Amino acid sequence: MRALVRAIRLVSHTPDGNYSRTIRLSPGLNVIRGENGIGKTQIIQAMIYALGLERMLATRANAPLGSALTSEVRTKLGEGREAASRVIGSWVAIELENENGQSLVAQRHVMHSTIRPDLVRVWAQPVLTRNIGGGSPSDYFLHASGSATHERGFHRLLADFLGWQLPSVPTYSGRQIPLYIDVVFPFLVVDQQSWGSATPRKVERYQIRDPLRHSFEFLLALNGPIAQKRRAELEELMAELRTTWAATKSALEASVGVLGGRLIGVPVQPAGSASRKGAVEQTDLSSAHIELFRNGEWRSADSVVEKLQEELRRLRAALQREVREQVDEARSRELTQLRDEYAEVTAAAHLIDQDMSISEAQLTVLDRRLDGLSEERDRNSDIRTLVRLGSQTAAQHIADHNCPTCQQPLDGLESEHLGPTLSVDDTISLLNSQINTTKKMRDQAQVAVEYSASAFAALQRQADQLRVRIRALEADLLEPVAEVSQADIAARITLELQLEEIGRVQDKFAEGIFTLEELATRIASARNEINALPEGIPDSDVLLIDEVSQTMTRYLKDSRFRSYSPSQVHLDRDSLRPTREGFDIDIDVSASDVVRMKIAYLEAVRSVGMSVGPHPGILVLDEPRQQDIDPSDFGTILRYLGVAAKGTGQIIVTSATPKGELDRLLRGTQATNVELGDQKLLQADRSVDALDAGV
Amino acid sequence: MNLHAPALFDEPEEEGSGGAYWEIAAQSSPTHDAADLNVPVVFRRQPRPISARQRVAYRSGLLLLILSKFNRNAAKLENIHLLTWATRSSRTRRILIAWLSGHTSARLVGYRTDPELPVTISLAIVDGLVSPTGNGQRVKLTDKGVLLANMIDSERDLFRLEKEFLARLGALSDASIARRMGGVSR
Repeated sequence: MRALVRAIRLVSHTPDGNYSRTIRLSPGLNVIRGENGIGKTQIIQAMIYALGLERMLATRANAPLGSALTSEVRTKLGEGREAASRVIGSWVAIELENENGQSLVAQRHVMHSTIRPDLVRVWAQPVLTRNIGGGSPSDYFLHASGSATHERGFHRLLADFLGWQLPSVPTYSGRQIPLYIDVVFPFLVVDQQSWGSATPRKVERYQIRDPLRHSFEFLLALNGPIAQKRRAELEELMAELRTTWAATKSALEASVGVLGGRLIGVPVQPAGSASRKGAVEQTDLSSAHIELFRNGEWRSADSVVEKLQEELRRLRAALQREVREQVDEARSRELTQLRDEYAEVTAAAHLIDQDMSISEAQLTVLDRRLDGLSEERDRNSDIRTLVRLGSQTAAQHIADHNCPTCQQPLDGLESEHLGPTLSVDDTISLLNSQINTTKKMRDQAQVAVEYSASAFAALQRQADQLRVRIRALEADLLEPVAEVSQADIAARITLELQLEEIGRVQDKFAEGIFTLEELATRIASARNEINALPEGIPDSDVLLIDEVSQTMTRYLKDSRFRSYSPSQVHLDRDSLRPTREGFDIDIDVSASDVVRMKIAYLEAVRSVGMSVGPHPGILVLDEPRQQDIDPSDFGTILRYLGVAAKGTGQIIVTSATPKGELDRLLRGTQATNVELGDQKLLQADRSVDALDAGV
Repeated sequence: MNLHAPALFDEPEEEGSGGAYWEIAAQSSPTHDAADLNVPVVFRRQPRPISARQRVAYRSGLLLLILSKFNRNAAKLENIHLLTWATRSSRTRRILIAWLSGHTSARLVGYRTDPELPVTISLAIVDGLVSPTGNGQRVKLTDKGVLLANMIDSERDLFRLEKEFLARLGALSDASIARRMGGVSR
């Protein structure tokens, strides 16, 4: 959201009375002119201090404010003489206005007996520029944890006022923290000490990685980081869904396993769970079903239930007759048959058990091997990174693999005279193929273990059922003939229990499949959303970066950048800083060209950021001429700034250029000239200030 | 009434259902056809793959990483030996953590060295990354070494396992290792 600085006020209390100054500013280009040493920089510092941004200048908490606010106020008495009065209290205030017409006046004390410097008093009315009572201020805090996030934190208030939603960014330690407001502000305010570099001041105190790149991305609302963030969120969601899927599936398998059955048609993970290009169709679970092991074959649970019900009906009919025929011979034949079958089943189960142990051992070995191979591959990738870092720091033996003393290759040292060694890249591809092979072997071993486990469970159940029948038949053969057959009763009870058990598992199965279908839908749609996200730097971002780059080059040409051809300077798409291939811009160009570059860069960011992003459109440049830019070039810079700021935003420049010369340079340029003259900045002030809280 | 074994399904074969059980058992131990292997074998001289831990770049990088975790970026040679050895595998990592947390049962053999280390240190000295101090008994990172170590530290994926392991050891210094290893002879 656009914003403006309407006014800045500085007040010092001394035993001799109050001294103060209010600087009023307008939209567009403002040039604050005054002789050297009268306190132009004080105004900029007061602005930074009032907004609680002094930590962008230095890591120490104390504000770099001048003596007129901290120790003594000096006033000119004429004939070169000066008088000094001791400061016993002081404060500064700034009035901002945003696009919605809201005002924010922030007052911060530098010296006060009770009000601490980390307290900011805030008015929501334009009390600096209009003589309205203002009412009582609200207090906000600074420089304590939460000042950027807490409701009463001043930087949270400031961000809200500017309409900024600051993104989370990674620190060097991998944590995510908000992009603090004082990290972004060097793109808006250039203090006098930072003209030595073409890039904005890098605020290191929060340990944010690439603070400049993140600030640039934020000010221009680039899509790349937004897409990246969304991708990370989706990947996290995906991981969660995958885990839920695996858990649901294994719960289903466990309940099916109770029956000695197996689950068919449910994949380990559904479509879309692994990263793959192209549209993903949701996994179809309509053919998922349970299979049970019956008479040496896997059959669908439904057909088993059907057969069991048929058998149950038959048995019930037999029992109702309650008449037993002479069946002893048949029974003993059946008993022999069942005993044979029982022996076969237990022997087969034993064999499977042995196989399972072997496969499980194999699985453990393969898992360990996979871990080792992945670790080795990581180490080889590490070497690639190390070589890159080595060349960045001129650590020769790491970068080019030669002995730093004799310049001979270090191969022999690594291979101990075993002959030529494989390059790191080839080693990585070799390891990748080994990992692939091992993974396939592992998957096979896994399938073998699962298969053996379900077959083993099924055979055990089969054996249990056979045992029940064998016992019942044995009892029948010993009992009088005319009774109801124990074997028939046992068979009926077994059947009923089985049916009940299968029914219960089928209910659970239906419930589980419903959950899995839901998960499959969510996973497929999340994958499709991930695939639709732009990869790398999106085209829309490239367009904006190029626009900043071209605008910057144009300004460089206008301001007669001389160190080399301005067309050789462009914005690097990774670092988002001005670069020339193979050169360090801050060192290889003249001091005045660094200033030209810095202004061109920041103005280009301002104008593009204001039209597409949350850049408030403010740019403050403190004494750019100190680096000896010649007057006509300074005039060109002021002219293009004047054109750029006309009707869009606000640019504030301080300068000690003599008055006549400045008037000449500004001829034809729309600018507000704030003349400080040759008097000291703070002047005796007898009026009563509504904002004043005494000393 | 026929009360033979209830024929829930059509009987698969004459010899009863037992054959199918064997089949199931046989399926879980697959065999391979030897005829597949009947192909001519040709030997060629190939460059040999070597372990990443033998590569100079890896060893130097690890040396800088270890030193950067020590108090004042300096450590005794024997401690560098110990930590370099310990990063080797999950087993060695476990052993060192056990030692440092005072598990006497794991203290059977306490002396560990990495034979390649002296060469690595020499290379790093010549390259101006580290310098010997304390009568040659200690090694210290130079400014250039600190710069590279910081870069190594800020690359998140670089030395991921090694960094995790070193972080688990807590604050490192010659004195703290000597104290925590207590009576372990090294």
